[in-house]
Amino acid sequence: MSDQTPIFEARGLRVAIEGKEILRGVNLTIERGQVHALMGRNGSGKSTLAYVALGHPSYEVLGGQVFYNGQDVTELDTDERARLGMFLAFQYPMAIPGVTVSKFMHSALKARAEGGNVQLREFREKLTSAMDLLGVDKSFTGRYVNEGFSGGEKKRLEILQMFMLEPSFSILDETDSGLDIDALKTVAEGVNATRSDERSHLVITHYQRLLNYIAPDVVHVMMDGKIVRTGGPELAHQLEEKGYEWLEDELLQPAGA
Amino acid sequence: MEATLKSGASADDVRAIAEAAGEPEWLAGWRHDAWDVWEQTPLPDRVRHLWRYTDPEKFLIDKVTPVLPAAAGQAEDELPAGMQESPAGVGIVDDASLQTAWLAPEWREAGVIIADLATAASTHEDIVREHLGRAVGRDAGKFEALNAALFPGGVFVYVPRNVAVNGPIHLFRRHGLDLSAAFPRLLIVLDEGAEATIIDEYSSPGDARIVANSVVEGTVLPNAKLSYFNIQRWGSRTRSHARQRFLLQRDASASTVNIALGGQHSKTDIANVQQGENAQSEMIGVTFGSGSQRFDTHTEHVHQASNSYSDMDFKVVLEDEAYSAYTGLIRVDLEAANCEAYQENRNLMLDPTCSAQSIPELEILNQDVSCTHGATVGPIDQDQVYYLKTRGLPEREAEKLIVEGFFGPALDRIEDEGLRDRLWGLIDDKIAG
Repeated sequence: MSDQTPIFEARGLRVAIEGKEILRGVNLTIERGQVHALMGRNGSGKSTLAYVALGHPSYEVLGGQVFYNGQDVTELDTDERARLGMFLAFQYPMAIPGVTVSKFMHSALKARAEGGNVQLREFREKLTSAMDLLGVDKSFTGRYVNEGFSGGEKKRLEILQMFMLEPSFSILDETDSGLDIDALKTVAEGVNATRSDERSHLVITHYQRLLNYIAPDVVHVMMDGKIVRTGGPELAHQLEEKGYEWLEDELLQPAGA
Repeated sequence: MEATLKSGASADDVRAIAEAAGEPEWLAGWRHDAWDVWEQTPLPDRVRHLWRYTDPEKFLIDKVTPVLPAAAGQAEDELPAGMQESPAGVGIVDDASLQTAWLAPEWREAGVIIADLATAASTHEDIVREHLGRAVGRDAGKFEALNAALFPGGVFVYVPRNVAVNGPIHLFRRHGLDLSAAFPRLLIVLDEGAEATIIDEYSSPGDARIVANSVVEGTVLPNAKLSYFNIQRWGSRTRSHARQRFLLQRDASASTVNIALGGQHSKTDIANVQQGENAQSEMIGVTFGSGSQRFDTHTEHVHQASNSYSDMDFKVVLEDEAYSAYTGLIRVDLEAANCEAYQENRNLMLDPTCSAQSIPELEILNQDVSCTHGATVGPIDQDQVYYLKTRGLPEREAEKLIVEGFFGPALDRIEDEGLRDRLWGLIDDKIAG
């Protein structure tokens, strides 16, 4: 498999939940080392794409395929996809009462490690340095996962996990929503610090705001369950300036008019 | 030791047990009175709410044989091998007899006692007579009467006035005879200002058909502090009827933790009674049922005196076809003013085929009280499972972590690291199984 293989690809993806079709033929290709932004209004299907990429059991794939690193993962279970190197930073991360952040991270790393072994000492060092880099408070490790966390703390924990698990492909589902500027910067720093030739990101957002800190290589716009336009960073600026109505109007124009 | 008793039991067997245990006349008489209660008491009526979830016939002993006690072992100087914890004392009961009773020298010198109960009825007659049957009387119920009549040896733990035992006293009750009736009995007395942690662990092999009828009772005298852990690891063919009740006198405190993992059908009745003012009770329950296990658990916090406090946290995890019924009573007597009583029961079900019931009960006769109770029964949260799976944890590992988190706050209260790790190991084994 050459390095030209896209890290992620959705091909003609059609997805329903509770009988309602949400994704209506999504085609999306993300090359290695790139950051793509996926923009769109609420209800356009962005989060559905994120969940389906990681195999959420409530969604039914009606047609099409999901590829990770050239492998068709459409039928793979969520945890298998995660262990291959896919990651989802949740818009609304779940609380896991009684499980400390430290234990949670250790369990997640063990699940990926060869032979299931992660030296506790190495783990602690890695966790400490990741927390330092992201400016996360040390008391985090002893707290129960997302229980009683503020919105900003939850998002920081998602980014901390992205750091620790070192996925090749990360989807950030509206990680910027509800964040103050400091938390937003933490998220952006997290993405920027993990940018490399080997790691790719799909940043889902309503707004241009986050993209001021994370310069995307490619911007996609989703409407009504389809990718309706793909462009460079300027597309995000145009949307910010002119609003989604502008794009809707454009799309209504007959081709070549 | 040759078992000479037959299936079922008779008044002759009561005599044989008393003789084999070499116990004093007063205790033999006590047993015979208990036998009369057993014979005269009808089987519990299943309409009575405490028997609504269990058929009392399961604990009859027509087809199993009570075990005669062998001579109790001598007090030992060496710590038994293979202990993962660093205990202050160890007592090992094999079938019907306390075979090992070891105490670290400093506690032996301080007057702490771990002894065969029937023997202590002679050597420490005053204390045993005063407290035997006090918390769980011969008339507490039909099966409690049977235990009183037939318990072969039993264990007696006594901590003298103002002695604070550092480190746990660990009791192992190992019952292994197929088609036997087991009657474990434990009497704990903490004298004024005494402190002790007692770990009381019950086990039997998976293939042994045993009917276990156990009684744990104790008196926590003024200012004394008891920490008691009951670890139920009966084998999968053991039926268990267990009664546990502690009396807390003025300014006394008790923290009890009941961990139920084993058994085929377990009916357990746990109570702490705040008899004296300012008595404080904390009760924790951890039940994990799998396969076709059934658990029927009742807890009681009884406030008989003013300014007393109780907190109850009972957690149940079930998988496969396991079943749990929990009833929890808070009773505040008319003369007990300014009490606080809290109770929570949560049930987590890993499979749609298991079922749980939770029934909180309140009998508040004095209205000057702070009281809360809550109960939840629900399946494992699939969104939590998905979240953990997106981090690479296989479904089973995800469930395991959620279960660990569910039980965690209760088990984390166990200070002894060796014991805590071993309990986590038992729970993890069960999840893996």
